[in-house]
Amino acid sequence: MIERLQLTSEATQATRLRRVARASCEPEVSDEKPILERVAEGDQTAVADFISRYGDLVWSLARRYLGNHMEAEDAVQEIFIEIWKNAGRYDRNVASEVAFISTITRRRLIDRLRQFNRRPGMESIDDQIGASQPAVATTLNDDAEVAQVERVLSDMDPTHRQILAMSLYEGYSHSEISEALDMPLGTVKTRVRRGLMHVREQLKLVEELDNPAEGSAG
Amino acid sequence: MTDASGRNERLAELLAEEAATGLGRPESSEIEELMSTDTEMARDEFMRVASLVQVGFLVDDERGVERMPDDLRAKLERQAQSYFAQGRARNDAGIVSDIQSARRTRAETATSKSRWLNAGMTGWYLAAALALAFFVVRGGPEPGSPAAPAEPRATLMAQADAIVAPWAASAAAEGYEGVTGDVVWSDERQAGYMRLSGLVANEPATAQYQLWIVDPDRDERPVDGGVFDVPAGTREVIIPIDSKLAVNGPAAFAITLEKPGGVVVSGGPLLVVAPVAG
Repeated sequence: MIERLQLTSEATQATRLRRVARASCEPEVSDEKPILERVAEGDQTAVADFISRYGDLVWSLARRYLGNHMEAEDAVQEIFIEIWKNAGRYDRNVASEVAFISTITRRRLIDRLRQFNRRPGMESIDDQIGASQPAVATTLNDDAEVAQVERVLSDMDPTHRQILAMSLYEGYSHSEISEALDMPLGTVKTRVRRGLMHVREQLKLVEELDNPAEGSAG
Repeated sequence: MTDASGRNERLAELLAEEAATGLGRPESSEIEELMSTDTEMARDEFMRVASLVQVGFLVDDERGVERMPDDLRAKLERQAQSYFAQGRARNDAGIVSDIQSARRTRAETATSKSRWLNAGMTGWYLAAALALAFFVVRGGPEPGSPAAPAEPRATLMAQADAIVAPWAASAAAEGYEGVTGDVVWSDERQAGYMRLSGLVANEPATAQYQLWIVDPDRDERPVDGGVFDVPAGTREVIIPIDSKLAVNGPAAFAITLEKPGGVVVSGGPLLVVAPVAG
């Protein structure tokens, strides 16, 4: 776990140094039909397009959260089946495809850790060797909500940010974080909760600025 | 602090915990109770925020977004093809309806099944104890293939009626606490897979593991789910279930260690059990 904590800390430092504030988080307006809608309509080409566009995202989230190549492979297969099952429920007016997919992914990853009562696994040396292949494509940089979340996280106190990263990104339990950071369990829980509430409030603020009428109407 | 603000604070606490690490049943029930009162919070709100935070950390991770392995990508495409081929035959509305129906049925029968499970298991133990004196060794062992791939298991999970039941060590046997994994089963396909990690390797010439399926609607005694081996040095095995009889609405799966080839009536003990959640 220590190695993983160091990774988190180093990544946080590096990230803070190289973070570039985004000029705008205006959503890109596009007439292109979301792939999920095409998937739900039974478009044969959409499935391959979908896997090409979002496969690396789901894979990377699973790898980092579960910390193990084999576990991640199994989880990703389950996640994609869940996505196919729920494609018809996707509504572009409610959430971006990234938000929809990552929410399904997160639920499955949490279930998996709880189901097997496991802590995130250490990566084997082989895992680490094969880990750094560049992604072919990612649409993450185009997602306005992700950009906003990045900004909120970058402004966060480093310790608070590290707790959130360990909990939400690397899959550590509150108890494990408490032990690793030598911090009371209650403090860890409170910081995770407050962190989430803070991000939520910031996203709401942006949403209200973008849609003042809806915002004032509550 | 007013009652309403106290409720909202507790609800926020629970929703945040659900989004961070997941919740047990008591806490989930508490959320449902709190959500039934006036609140501006949506059940998925924190989960959605947590998911975006997770993606935010990924984007900022210097290790970057990783390319999915090509063999996994190919598997996903094959599984999707299989899933949507099935979906075309039974339109989407039908699949959603099936899922909802399966959930309703499971919820309605959960209580009676868990009652049956306790009674049934006791009955099974008694029957097994009486039968100990005359074990019947089945002929023609049919060991499950430990090399069975994860792919057909994942495909089976796409079935609308597929259930997933995690293994838990039985109180009746020591030394199996580290066993993890699950059972995937589909009544419609009459097929299933066991996934097991941490189950000690057996010596097939001396003993074999045997799966039992508890199906209260069929019989008081559990159905033989086939024998299988766990080779030494295997981290995880995926075993196809070889049910000897039709099973509908299983309440639990259990594993015993038996003579080579398995037995018709087991004397136990149960090593690990996978109760099916309601």
